Amino acid sequence: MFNLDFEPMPDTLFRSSFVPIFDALRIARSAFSPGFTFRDKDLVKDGDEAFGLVISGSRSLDITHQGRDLSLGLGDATLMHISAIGSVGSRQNFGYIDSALRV
Amino acid sequence: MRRLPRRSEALQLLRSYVRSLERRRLGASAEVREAICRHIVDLVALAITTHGAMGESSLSAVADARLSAALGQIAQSFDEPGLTVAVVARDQGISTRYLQRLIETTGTSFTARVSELRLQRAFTLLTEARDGACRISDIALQVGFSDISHFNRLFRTRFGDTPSGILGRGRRT
Repeated sequence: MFNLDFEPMPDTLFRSSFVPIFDALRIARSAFSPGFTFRDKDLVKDGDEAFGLVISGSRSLDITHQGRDLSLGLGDATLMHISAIGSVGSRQNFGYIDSALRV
Repeated sequence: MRRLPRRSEALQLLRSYVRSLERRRLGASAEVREAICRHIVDLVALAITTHGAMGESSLSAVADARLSAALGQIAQSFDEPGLTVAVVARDQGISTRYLQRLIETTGTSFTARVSELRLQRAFTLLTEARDGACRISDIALQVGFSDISHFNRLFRTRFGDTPSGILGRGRRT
């Protein structure tokens, strides 16, 4: 899918689940304990240049990307450029569906 | 970067399409996978650009996602006696006639599809009811039929035997 790292919130147990849905577009459903999944300047060197569509599976999903912050509610979505650094996460347990689209 | 609101019709269709992929776990052929990719990319493009209702769009991705959502609803609630084409159309936000046309593209009608699901479930319940305190009328009601003689008639036409015949066969084995 994508190369991601995860930064947990302090004093929380790390848990995650990952269910692939459709490989051809790298669609998967992921869930995590409180924290942030992210791609930093090292990870974006992998050359992945797709657009990622993130559909929130949580009441509050915080996204930082290309110098902007965005908060998504349950069922909201946004597009992210996988070649740019950014993070997706929450102070609560969170989940999302993501996919990678090549244009 | 901007928020695509959950109320966006295209995004709702996309979520429902992805859920149906998740349920079906397709080991699809290359051709089908290609069609799925096309549909998803079209729906994402619509979600980004469309703000109003899409109505009875003839765009294949929209039609396919609508059909998928309707079939998903039918599969989940076929055992509700009050399930009608009007109820599903209302829940999916489309007209009854448009829903009928969509379902007809699968080679069957709404009524035939619901009946088939109910009959298949009834058949399973009858064959599983080996030891039992099981009444055919209860099974008919449980799968969504409210008229027992209609159920008996359809069942016999579909399986070439009566419900009591299937139940008796199950109990003898």
